[in-house]
Amino acid sequence: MDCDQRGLESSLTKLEVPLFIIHGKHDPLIPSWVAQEHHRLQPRSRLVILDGSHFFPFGFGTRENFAIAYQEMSRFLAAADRGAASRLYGQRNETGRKNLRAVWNGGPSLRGYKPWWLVGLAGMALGFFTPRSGGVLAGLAGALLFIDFLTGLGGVILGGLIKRGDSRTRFHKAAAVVLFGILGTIPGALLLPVL
Amino acid sequence: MPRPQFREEIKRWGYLILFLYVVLVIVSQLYLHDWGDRDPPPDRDKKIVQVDGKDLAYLEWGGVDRTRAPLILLHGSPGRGAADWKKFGAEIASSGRRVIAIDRWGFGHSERKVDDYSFEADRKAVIGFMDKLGIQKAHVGGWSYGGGPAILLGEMNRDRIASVSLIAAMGIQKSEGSGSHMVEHWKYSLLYVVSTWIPEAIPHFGLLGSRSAAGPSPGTSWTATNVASNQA
Repeated sequence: MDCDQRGLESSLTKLEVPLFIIHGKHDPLIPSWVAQEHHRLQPRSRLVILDGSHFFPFGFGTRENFAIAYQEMSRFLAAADRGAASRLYGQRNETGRKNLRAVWNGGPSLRGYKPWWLVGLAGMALGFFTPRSGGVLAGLAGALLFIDFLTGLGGVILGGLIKRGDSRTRFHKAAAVVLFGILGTIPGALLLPVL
Repeated sequence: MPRPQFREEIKRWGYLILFLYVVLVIVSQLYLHDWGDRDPPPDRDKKIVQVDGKDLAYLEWGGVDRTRAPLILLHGSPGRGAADWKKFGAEIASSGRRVIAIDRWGFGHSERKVDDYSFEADRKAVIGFMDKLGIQKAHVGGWSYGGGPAILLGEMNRDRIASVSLIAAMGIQKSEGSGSHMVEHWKYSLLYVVSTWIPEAIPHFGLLGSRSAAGPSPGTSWTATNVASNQA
């Protein structure tokens, strides 16, 4: 397989070299809970969460955040050179913005991992009864990083398709779900930086 | 209902448009066949070494302070390869540390077509690269997709790796969209078909990217890499 990620969890737990993890709190591609999970799996690590997106290493975002990123990393590398990285292990939050906090202290957040079959089934139920609203909801929830957009949308399409109807209306329904799903991502993307 | 004469007119125009479309697709395909696969423009800052008999390109910053272990940076996917690190790499190197960003296989100025684009192939490339440059020990940092090979390097080459940095990086399977390997492969196989076949039916004359960038050799582009991994 090209990039099989299934073995990475055990690789991470077996890691013996110092680990530095830095992640943007508003990363839409790899949500920040992933970095927290990596830190939990490998406690011999330093985790820095900053107010950035996925592209903060490119210098996108504020200059202050970019400076935090390279300064924190330089500091960790220097400590690792001296064999003193363990002094920096732990978590540091460089973010003052609101976000969806954990449901309870230290617990899962709404943006955490959701089983694919649960998302798919919920999508199918919505798609069966109300495909268009289901599409919009999948788009909204996907853009807000609550669920995986394509899994949710796929569920809604399937739910719509299993309902009786001729092939022409089924095709129209599936196309409408995709369209409404894409429309749903627009308010989601606008709300994302606020939440 | 339009009059029969009017319907005939519409039909004729339809055939004409269809004919023009087919001609355009054929000309576009011929154009892509001959000139579609252009190399990226040369980058004077890039250096190239042979690793495993293949070109591996890299960028380098700093290096005044030889007491600090060098840092090797691995870019994500999609992207411009090592050039993605131009700003970040230069900042880290301001302390005097030698910072190197390599073009992973299939990216930038490194070998485009290799048999294996996996994390493991990238891991071997980094070790081969370190051997070639005589680097005994280095820090490794991966952004996004680059986190995969970075984790493997840290686990399997602990005698050569001083530390691992995950910079907005991917990792555990659970973090991948649906979280399921099986579902992701179904999902991205479908998207692969959409993203590679639809451009073939559009007479784009290379404006949608070269075919090798969307094409049959996995890992050379965002579309192909996305089959296995949706994240950059």
